[in-house]
Amino acid sequence: MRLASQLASGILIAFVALLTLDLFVRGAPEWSAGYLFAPVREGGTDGGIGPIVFSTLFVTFLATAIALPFALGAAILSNEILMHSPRLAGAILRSFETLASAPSVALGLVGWTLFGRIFGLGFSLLSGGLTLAIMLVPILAVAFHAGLAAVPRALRAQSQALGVSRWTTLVRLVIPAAWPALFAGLVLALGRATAETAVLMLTSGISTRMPQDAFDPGATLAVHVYQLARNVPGGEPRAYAAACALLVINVAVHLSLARLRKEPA
Amino acid sequence: MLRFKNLLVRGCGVTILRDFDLELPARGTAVLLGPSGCGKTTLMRSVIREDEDDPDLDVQGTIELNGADLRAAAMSRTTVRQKIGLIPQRPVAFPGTTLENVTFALRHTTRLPKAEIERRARAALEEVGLEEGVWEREAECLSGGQLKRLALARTVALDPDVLLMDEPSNGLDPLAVVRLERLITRLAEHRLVVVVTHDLYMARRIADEVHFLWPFADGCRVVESGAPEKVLEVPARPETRLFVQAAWNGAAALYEVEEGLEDCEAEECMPRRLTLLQDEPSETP
Repeated sequence: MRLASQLASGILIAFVALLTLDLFVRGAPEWSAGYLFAPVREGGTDGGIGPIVFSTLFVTFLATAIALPFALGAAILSNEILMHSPRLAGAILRSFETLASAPSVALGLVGWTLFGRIFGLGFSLLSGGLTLAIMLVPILAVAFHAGLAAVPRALRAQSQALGVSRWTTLVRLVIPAAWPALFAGLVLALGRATAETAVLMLTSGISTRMPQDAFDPGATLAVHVYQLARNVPGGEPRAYAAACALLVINVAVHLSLARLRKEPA
Repeated sequence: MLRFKNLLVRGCGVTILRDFDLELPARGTAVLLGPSGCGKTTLMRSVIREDEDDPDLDVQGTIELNGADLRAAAMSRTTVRQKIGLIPQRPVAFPGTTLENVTFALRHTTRLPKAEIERRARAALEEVGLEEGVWEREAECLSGGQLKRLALARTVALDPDVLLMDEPSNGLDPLAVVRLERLITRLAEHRLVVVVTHDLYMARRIADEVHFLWPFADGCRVVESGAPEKVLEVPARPETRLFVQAAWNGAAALYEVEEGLEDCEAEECMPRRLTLLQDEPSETP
């Protein structure tokens, strides 16, 4: 049994290592000094990816900042406030699960129509961030709901039996107890956001110039990789280089957030 | 004095307690006995108004503490829970250290200065006999017995007028039970301690008074009350007799309870007698 589990683990690790190695072998030689910060030249076949990295981080963190309170609120509503109305809570959860599994290109179209056209934001980082937030809310809410639901009901009951209010119990006991699960949900959603292509092609655009403000368009890394691989002649090696950068940024964000994995004080 | 008047409690659509009347003194240890499922835990939950958190629990009637109606709208639930502490059968550790577990409710329900909160928490931990070595340890690392004492310390730190303890000796070794009994006796010098237990030996050692509950077809009621030596040694009611003799002497005791079953083998009589009591409930006393 132990040998089998070690073998399975070894195969999994080897698979991930092989994928990463392939990316780096093809992409790293394209990197130059200052590649992550230099402006894009010749449609991406020369220069760096500075504006792309900026747009990626801006859109991702804007979307996460908007989505987080809504998702946490929805999870608290369905799991804590509506716990005595299981049908309603279940309906909310099912609708989020459906929305989380909706094709992102459809959300992209909705985002483009709503923010791009109706609100007049056009192709812009703001338009992309808002649409991405709509995509992230159900993903985060489902993950947060599962995290809160995993905290034993007895914890809440025994805190409230001491006279502690429901709200204090939630903030001081339940959320800290659920923190590792909430954090895991957040990391997964961030990964999904940085890798999202369809939504952002339709909302934040494919411009490779440095955006001057949130109303300017700007391609994110995933969009840039797609463009280089499909629409730029001879762009494939540079697509690998940009994909490498995406992986590095994802790992860096993950590692910098890792310190938050521990329960909040 | 804790008084239940004409209490009607329903849970999940079933009547658990009906016409329930009981009067408990302001100090001392009152032990509630009765078969499993006859509403002892539900009674305790009703006292601290847990029905407000549980839509499946419906409580009607009056519960008074020293003349004040605990279910009155004017009495906040927080006030009730500060006056009455419930120690659950299976306590869970809050996130944080043992000491933080005890200071938690003090921090969030009182306006005491930090130093006073710390002092009361330490005093409570000392009172329940949790050794100082575990005070800074994560509470989730405590043993089952230590966790029970921690739950008691969390409640004792709030200095409630009444302590409700639901099967406190469950899962404890004999030495831990003896320590717990001493603690209960000490705590009961200044307040009322209500203990629900199936451990009649423990009941005999700690109780100032014993109340025996029996599930009738229309709900559970107290059928016999009195001093432990009376209720546990020479019970008046057949239900109590059956219960205590089964506890003292095991299945063999059931011969003496039911006339006409003297010739019956114990293994046969036990299920027959119990089925008789379950299916054909006694008449209301």
